[in-house]
Amino acid sequence: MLTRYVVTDLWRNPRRTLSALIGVSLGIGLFCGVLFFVDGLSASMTQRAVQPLALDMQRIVTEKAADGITLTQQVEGTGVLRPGDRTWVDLTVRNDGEVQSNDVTIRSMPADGLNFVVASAALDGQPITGFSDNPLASGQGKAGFNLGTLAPGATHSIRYAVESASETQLDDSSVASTYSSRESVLPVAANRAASAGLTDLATRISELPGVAHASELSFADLGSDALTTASSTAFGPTRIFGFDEAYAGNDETISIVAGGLSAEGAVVSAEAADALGVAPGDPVTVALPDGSELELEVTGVADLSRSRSLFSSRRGGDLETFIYSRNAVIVSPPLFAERIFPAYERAIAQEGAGRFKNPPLREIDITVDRELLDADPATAVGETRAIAAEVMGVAAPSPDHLLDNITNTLDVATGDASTAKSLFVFLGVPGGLLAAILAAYSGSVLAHAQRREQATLRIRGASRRHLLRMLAVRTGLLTSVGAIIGLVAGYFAASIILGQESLARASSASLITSAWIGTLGGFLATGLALYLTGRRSIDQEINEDRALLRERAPLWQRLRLDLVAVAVLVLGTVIALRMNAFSGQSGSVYFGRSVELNLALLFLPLAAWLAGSLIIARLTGGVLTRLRPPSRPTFGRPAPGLVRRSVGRRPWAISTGTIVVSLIVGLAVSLAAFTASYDAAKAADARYANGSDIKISPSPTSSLTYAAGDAEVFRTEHISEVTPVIYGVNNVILRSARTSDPASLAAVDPSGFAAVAPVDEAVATMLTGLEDDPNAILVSEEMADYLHAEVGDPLFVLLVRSTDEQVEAQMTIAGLFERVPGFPDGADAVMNISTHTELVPSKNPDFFLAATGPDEAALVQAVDELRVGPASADTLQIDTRTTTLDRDQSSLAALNISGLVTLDSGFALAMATVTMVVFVFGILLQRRREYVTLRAQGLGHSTVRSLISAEAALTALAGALGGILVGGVMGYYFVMVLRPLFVLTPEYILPFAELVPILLLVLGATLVSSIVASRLVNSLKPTELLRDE
Amino acid sequence: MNLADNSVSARDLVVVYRTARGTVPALDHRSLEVEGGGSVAIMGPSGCGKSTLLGLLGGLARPTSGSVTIGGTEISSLAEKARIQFRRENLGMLYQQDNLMPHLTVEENVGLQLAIARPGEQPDGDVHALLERLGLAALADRLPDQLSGGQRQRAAIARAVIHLPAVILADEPTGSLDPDNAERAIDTLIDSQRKIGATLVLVTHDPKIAARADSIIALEQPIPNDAATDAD
Repeated sequence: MLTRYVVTDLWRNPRRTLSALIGVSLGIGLFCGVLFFVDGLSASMTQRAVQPLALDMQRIVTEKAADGITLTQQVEGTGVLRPGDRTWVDLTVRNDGEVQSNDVTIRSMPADGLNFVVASAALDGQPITGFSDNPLASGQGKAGFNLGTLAPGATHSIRYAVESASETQLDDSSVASTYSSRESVLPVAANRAASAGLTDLATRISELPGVAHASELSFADLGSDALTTASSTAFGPTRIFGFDEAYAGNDETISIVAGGLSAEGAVVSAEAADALGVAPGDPVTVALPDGSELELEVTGVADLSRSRSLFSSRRGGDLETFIYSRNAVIVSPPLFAERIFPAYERAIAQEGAGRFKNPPLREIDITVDRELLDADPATAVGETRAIAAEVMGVAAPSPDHLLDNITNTLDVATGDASTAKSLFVFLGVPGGLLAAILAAYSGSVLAHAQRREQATLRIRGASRRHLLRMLAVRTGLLTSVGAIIGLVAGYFAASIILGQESLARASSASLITSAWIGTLGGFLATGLALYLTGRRSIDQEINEDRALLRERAPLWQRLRLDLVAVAVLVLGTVIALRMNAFSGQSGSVYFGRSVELNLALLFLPLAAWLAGSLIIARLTGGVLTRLRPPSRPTFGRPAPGLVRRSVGRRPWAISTGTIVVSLIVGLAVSLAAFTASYDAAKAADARYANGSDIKISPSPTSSLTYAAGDAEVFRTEHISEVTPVIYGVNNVILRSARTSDPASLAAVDPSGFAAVAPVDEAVATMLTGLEDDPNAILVSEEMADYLHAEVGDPLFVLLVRSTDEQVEAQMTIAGLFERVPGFPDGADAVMNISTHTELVPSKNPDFFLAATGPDEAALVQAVDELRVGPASADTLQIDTRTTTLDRDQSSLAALNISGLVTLDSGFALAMATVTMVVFVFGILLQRRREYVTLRAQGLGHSTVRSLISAEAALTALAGALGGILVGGVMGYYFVMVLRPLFVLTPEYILPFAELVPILLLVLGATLVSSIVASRLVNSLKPTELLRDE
Repeated sequence: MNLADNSVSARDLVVVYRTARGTVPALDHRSLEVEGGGSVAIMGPSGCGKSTLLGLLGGLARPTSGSVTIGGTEISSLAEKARIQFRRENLGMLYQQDNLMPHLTVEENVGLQLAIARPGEQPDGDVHALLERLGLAALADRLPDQLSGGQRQRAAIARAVIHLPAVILADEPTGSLDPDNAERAIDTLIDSQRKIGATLVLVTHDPKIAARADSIIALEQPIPNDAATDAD
């Protein structure tokens, strides 16, 4: 009965029903939309995170050159050894290599439960004497037994007895034996499986499930000037590679620009080919470390200048640093195994391993089948770990080690994903709060409008319990339908913004969980808000406390919640500043860490939002109250007089509406400010990493050379400034009075660089110093610290090191910098390019930096101009701040923040519209009797309409202006809290141009709802004042 | 709009409402004549059309057929705007509820009616004099919620007469008051009506109140009639 009455009531009052329903639907829609958005975004994080990886996994084969030792271990007997029983251990060590091994040391220790039998050890049948205990693990350090030098083919046998101290099961682990040598310092376990060939290993790994490709790669750094022809030399170090066409085909950064790979010939780098003046068909000679020479026919020329897989450092300290070698030779894997590797073995045997800082490195480079990885990085990381275990399980046990880049990357991505989820859910929290607030607001308006009906029902015998039950049914129906509509709206909104494909990648389980959380959470929040406001209204009706209510300020103002919120905000900000909590830690795949956001700080923007909106409402109420005229019978024109008295004597309707509008507009403004600041900061980060708007790098295969003075070649209509840069990783040796170290030096034109690169003020000042003093050099604080050098100290710089033109210059340290833009691999020193050119005239710039200005269109046009201009005649690599930003997957940069903001803003603005509609209809419902009376007194429709419109406009204007202020502060807090997302300190941007549409929308919604309301005013019939008959 | 006199005349009024279940007669061929300055009480059972009749006399609605003439002006044939203007200048309305604006003080509620009826005039003296006469001078700056029911209804009477209307239409003006306050209110109303020479049409259920009028008209329940046309 009650349900039927409520359903009928809802059906017959469509405006009230729709107002509440749309409010609830929008709130739940936003909440669900954010959750679905997070699902969709998380579902693509794996792919985005691994996309820039050059190599997924590298199994580094640790069998060194000059390591042909094998150690076998055998324990006599099987089964259980009783206490006091003895058995024998036999060890055989053999050098199967082609060269001798020095200081071969054998270490062998019985496991727990077995004791070495003193004086039982024998070498080649002769007792080992002079040891009081196990000679194979003697002394405190348990040092092994040094056999000395093992010539190729030499064999030794060692035998010793062990006695059981307790009942012991005999097996292979009963004794642990290893060997090591001067050439192979790390101990190698006995009974190691015969080393599988690289090709065999690659084949077996490539067959593992989850592995897309596995190819062998060998490389070695030859000495200086190792690559020659009969008439010329490629000066500087040469790196020689061994890989096949499959490897090259799997890495698009390896570009064979002429000829191709072959079994017996060599492909040389474009720079080497240029230095030697060779082409396919010509012979070259490679000097090997053992003094022998390898004559090869050039079968191809390659551009390897961007191949991170070949030149990324494999060392732990500077993992993934791109250390390029201009001179490179590629041979087939069999040729590398037959000629290069043995040459190193011989050289190490002759001169010792110490001579070679980088002995040949052999590895299997593995590409994981990324399509099979779970979309969520947290799950995918488990999958890649399993693949890594499988990879290391091939030919196990093995001392090889694995560089698991993909797992490391996914670990970082997992951290980022977790941060992103927290961040996004947090950004969704205001939406959820708004949902509840809007529902409460709609509910209060609805409840107020029903007071008369409720009074009538009470007169007809309805008790408080009846009314509450009806309220519960009404709330349940509205929130149920609203939840379903909201769920659908949220899904479609997320799908439109993210794209159906992204959302489809999310797992059904996560989508279903989000749907449950969104609808249930939204149902409870909005339902509770609707119910509680309705219940309060019922109790007020019952209390008949109308006069008191009119006089009393709202609860939040009586409790001074606004002032409490401001105090909390100020206190929280002071504490955060004192604790330096806003600084956080930036993320980096290279450093293996994800962004660290102090999410506890996110309460600050929330506090600013709530406190600001309440303060705005208090101020609005205060101002309106001050406008209240004193009681006078002279009325003047009815409409203005009525409005002034209405807003002055009952400002709470407007101030309550102002709170809601301010919250909504504040959220939209803060998100707009955050997005603008975020985009600008990320663009600044990318420009900083790129060096400027455009970076133009001549290709090694280029037929043209570009000297420093050729910068003007790249000037186009949209490129205002171009400057040359000489740079290389470890391209110089810096020597101070105390020490020296290889360093990465950048030579720049001080004024040109300052004009195109985003240098900070300190660096700009130092660059001026470079211009004034040609012998000045700037050094990074870190390098200066290492060199124990200070400003004013002399510094010797060995330019173009390891080339025939290397020259040492004495310079003076003119300044210390923290970092300079344009060098992702780091710059340790900066000098004037003019000085560099004077000292090394043949050295051309490595790249040019060009400025186009902040306009995106200008950047695109400038790139087009370069492509049809200089790049049409030559191979130029053009990197822009945009392409650099696209490649930046190292932190949360890849997050679709703007998508979330669009989602939030879209719903927020829809809510603002609904709020104004609810406000206008609320006024109409609450003051219907007043308006009808005024009509009966002789006021026209237009006057009554103007009364509604004036109050609505005041609410919209106060709320919108207040919201802009509140949103500005809230946005600032957002940027402060999320500062670790950025490399550079972000500049706060309040996008005024984007605020205009927000203002227009809110005012437009007010206007439209006022117009609609005016139609309802027209239908007001004064006869309803006459007594019911 | 100048009136020839204060007389009220209703002729052969018919009001029919169309509903989903057919047409419902609210007033069936009723006529009424009240001399200018006189008073008439309309009585009858619930649903007999008393308030409908009052609505027609006040120009708040238009009859399905018939005519209403006040002071020589046939208001039932006036356009909406003209009817509003007529009502504004010539009629004073009083209801069972006071229907005072809750955010206006007593003097402002009264002053508002004057501002509506005679825009541009400075009515301080008129309002204060009237409030003084009705015993409301001390309450002039009070809001309606700060008044008793009887005081509110007297303030409503002040609002109904401040602009010196030709006709006062009152719909159960004492319906929500206790007998003492009802008595005082009707005294005030009739006193005011006589003072300004207005014609009073009073709808009431209370015979005692009706007896205070110059004449009484009793209405009967209309007979359902499907043939009538729509009401306004």
